[in-house]
Order: sequence, then C-alpha cells, then structure tokens
Amino acid sequence: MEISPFIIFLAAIFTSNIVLTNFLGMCSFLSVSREIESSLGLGLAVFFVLTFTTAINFVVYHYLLIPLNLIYLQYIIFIIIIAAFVQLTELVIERFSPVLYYSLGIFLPLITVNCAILGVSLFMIIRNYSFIQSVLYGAGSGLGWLLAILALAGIRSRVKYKYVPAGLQGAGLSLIITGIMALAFIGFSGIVVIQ
Amino acid sequence: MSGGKVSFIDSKGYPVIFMILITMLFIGILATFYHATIDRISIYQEISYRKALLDLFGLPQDNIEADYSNYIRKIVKDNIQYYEASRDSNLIGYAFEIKGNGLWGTITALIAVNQDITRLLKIEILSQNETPGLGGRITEKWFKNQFSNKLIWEDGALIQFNLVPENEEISDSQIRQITGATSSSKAVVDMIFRNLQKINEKMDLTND
Amino acid sequence: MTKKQIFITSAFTENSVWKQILGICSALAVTNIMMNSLVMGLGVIFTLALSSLSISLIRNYIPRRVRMMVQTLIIASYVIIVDIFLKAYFPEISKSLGPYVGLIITNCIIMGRMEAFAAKNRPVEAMIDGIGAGVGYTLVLLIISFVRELFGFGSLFGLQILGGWWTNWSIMVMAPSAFFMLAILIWIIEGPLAARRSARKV
Repeated sequence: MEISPFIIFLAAIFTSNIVLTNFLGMCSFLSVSREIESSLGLGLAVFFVLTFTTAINFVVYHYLLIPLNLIYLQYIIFIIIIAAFVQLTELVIERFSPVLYYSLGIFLPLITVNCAILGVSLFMIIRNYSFIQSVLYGAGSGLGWLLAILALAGIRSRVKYKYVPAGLQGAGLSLIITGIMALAFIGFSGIVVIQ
Repeated sequence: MSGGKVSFIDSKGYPVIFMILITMLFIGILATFYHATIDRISIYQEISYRKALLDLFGLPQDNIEADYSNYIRKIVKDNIQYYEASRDSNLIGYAFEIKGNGLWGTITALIAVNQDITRLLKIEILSQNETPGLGGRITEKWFKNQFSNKLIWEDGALIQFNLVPENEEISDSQIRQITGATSSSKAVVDMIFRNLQKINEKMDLTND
Repeated sequence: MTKKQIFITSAFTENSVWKQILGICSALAVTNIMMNSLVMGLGVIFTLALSSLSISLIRNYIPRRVRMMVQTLIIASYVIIVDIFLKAYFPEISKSLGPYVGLIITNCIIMGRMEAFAAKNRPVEAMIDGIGAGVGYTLVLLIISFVRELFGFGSLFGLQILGGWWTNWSIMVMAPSAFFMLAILIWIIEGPLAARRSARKV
C-alpha cells in the first residue's frame, strides 16, 4: 500500500482524530480534562507511549507472531507489551528525572487502560501499514489525542462558572462539548486527499 | 488453611509460579479453541471467494464447489492473474482482483467485465478499512449495484465515472456517492478506472 | 443482597455507562448500526460473565502484586475467544466491527467490575453481577443505536422502516451524533434524579 506516511500522520491528527472519530481513550479523556495542566501532562504521556508501543508492537507482530503462527494471541501480547512498556518508562523516569516524574509520571499508570494505545496497534495491523506508516500513525494519533484533550480542558475551564442544567453537569456537558469539537474537526476533512 | 500453604503463598516465588501456571492454562484453552476453528475460517474464506466470483457473472450457486469448477477457470498469464467464466462453452467474461488506496488502507475488490471488456458486469468489495457507517458503506448493495452493466469503453477510450450526490438521478457515466464519504466513494471509482486501464493494456497484448 | 438485587443494581441503578461513565469508547463507536451494537453487547456480556466467574474462583489465590496482570490476561483470553468465534461463525459482523472486538479488553467496565465485585465475592454472585453490568451496557448501546440507525438510515436491524419520503440524517451516522446522543441519554436519566436531590436539600 502506498499511502504517504505523512498524509497518515496529518489524517490521524485532524481528519480522523482518534478521540473525535474513533472514540478511543474516552475514559481518561473525560475524567482528566478538568484542568489544563494535567491534560497537558497526560497528553504528552499518551503521545510518548503511543509512538513507542506502536513501533514495538509492529516489530513483535511482524517478526515474532507471524513467523510463529501465533497471530491469534495478538491481543494478549499487545496489552502485555503496553503494560510492560508503561511500567518501564515509569521506572526510568523516576530514576533519572524526578521533575519529569512529578509532571508526567503520575499519569503513566492511567495509560495502560487507555484504549487509544491498544486501538492504534490494532488499526495498524488491520490496515496493513508499513513500519514508517505505523510509527507516524502512532505519533499522529498521540498528537491528535493531546490536541483534543487540551481543547476540551480549555473549553471546560471557561464553562466552569456558567449555569448548566443539573442533569448535564460533568460528563454530560463534556460529551456535548466533545460532540461540537467533533463537528468542527469534520471541517478538516478537505486537507487529506487520497492520491 | 494450613500453615504450610500460607507461607507458600507469601513466598517470593509464588507470584511468578502463579503467573506461569495461569498463563499456560489460558494459552492452552485458546490454542485448543483456535485450532478447532481454524479450518472453518479458511474454508469459509475459500467458499465466500468462489461464491463472489459466481455471483459476479450471474451464475448458479446451488453447489459452490461444483458450479465453480464447471463455469470458472483461473488463468495466470504474463504476470496477470484473472478468472474466465464460460457457460455452455460460451465465454461470459473475465474477473480481476483489484486493489486501490482507500482513506485508511487498501481496498480490495473483484470486478467482472464482459468478453470484449466494454462493459462492467458487476463489482464486489472484498475488504476495506473505511470508517464504519460512512466510507464502510461502499460494501452496501445499492452502492455496488450501481456499477452493474455500466458501459466502460466508448469511442476508443475508457469512460471515467462522475460522482453525484446520493439522492440524485444518474446518467450512464455517473455514480451516486455516499453522503459524508466522498473520499471513499471516489477511491472506489478511481480504483476501478485505474485498474481497467492496466487491464486494457495487458489484455490487448495477450490478444495480439 | 439477593441475586436479583445484585443483577438490578449492576444493570440499572449503578449502570456503568450512565452512572460511572465507563466503557464509552466502544459504546460510541459501534452504535450507528443496531446489529453491531447487539453483537458487541453480547460479546461484552460473555466476557464479563466468564471473567467475573474465573476471577472469583481463584480470588483467594491471586497474589496481590500481579493482580492486574492476571485480570488482563483472563479478560484478554475471553475476548480472543469472542473474536475467533465471530470470525468463524459471523465473518461479516466480525469484519464490520473491526478492531473494536479487541478493544473489549480495555473496556473499563470489565476491569471495574473485577476490582469492585468479582475479587471479593463468591463465583455465582460475581457471575450475576457480570451479566448485570453487561446487560446494562448492552441496553445503553441499543438505545443509542436505535435512534442513530432509525434517523441515520431509516432502518432498524437493517430492515427499512421509514419509507422513501424519509431523508436520512447523515449526521446521525457520523461521530458527533454519538456524543450528543449519549449526553442526552445521561441528561434524561440524571436530570430528574438531580432535581429530586436538590429538592430534598431545600
């Protein structure tokens, strides 16, 4: 398949944002977006983990699972790799950069159950991406997630002091804001053209 | 619980042994289940491919195996692979497996053309990764059937189809696109055009 | 609690989707077609019931440190079984659900039920709780997809309901409507409850 990796990268950020069109990583997206600062921290952590786990999962899938004919175990293997990678990153960051650990590290445990990470790995397999395509797709999705959570946190911080009907407070309102953001992102669909 | 058991559960090695045992147990269950169904999956894929081929040419599908070997022949010639369908020793047409870029990944399809490659007979989408509910609708019957019996060759040139909105009337060279999925609709039309070009070149060579 | 109470609590009064806002990734993604929602729901019920049962059976033997790993492993195993089963017997549906079957693994509802209930209760109760949570989840999927498929395609379960006069609302098929529908559902259910709560305070 010859779709340019750069186009996949752009598409993953804008036209097919992982949260706004594929609904992946919603749980932490809704709960953490209360504050801009923690949104930025979690977003960066997701971006980092997504990029690397996609690369690792690609290599494991194509050079281990396929030759060994164990494709049917891909879910287990992927989730274990993601969990292990997250734990390892946590350890390394804690050891070498306490400052970074306090701004980023506390969000890492949340990431294993973030379905965006597993989702990107599964999409990359289903769509038959090459290594470069996969890594850029992972990085793009991570950036897209970061962009979406920052935007939501920004809007929520402005809405905080306004009147909201009782039944819509919290999750309900966040969902509506996200829906409007998703509508706005549809406007980007012109920037990616299949060649 | 006995004293010995408690100390074993508290020992350092216990989590490791526990993990190994439980992993082996579940991988074992999975492997058994997988091997019990693997044949079914591959047989299904083979049969659905043959059924799709028969369907493209409007051939009977009462007994897929027998009908397939009666009517359809797989041909590999000059690096191009295609299927030739004939009934009562009359050639009906050819079918080709084609690939093209979709919005998210490769779209593969089977297309059937008549014996002088002037008309599309029918198309079938084999696999696609478009957005479910949007571009994914290229697999819907109304969309695919628009390509049936379309003229593709006129005045010595290949016809390129134009896209019009979903609810409009269409003329011979037009295709209704899927609302909200212009890119995927265009991907299918382009894929067919580009591959027909290739097929025309290749098949001309073989006729010479 | 009786078994019936356990079921009703986890399916309705403490419904994971609208009460705890869990597991909405897949709740939103597969809900533009009812058939996909139903299959997804059944997959989740199956995974939840059997994972709860398994975890509960071995709850006294799981070492605390590897608890999450064990849970993930067991959930993933059942999800793979669902995936293989769909591939073998319902290949069309399996194709249209794409990676979302695999994503049942990271569905927070399942992890949530394991931690909150199955790890502390007896097998039968755990299984009923799992089925209850799964039924509650499926119910939400079906309500949302009912509206989305009806307005988006004019059909239910693929059967054309609304006639040719109906103009399909493309927005219902697209992503944003999923967010709106879920928000409205939460509003409808939570609104009266919130009103009652504030009335009691006064």
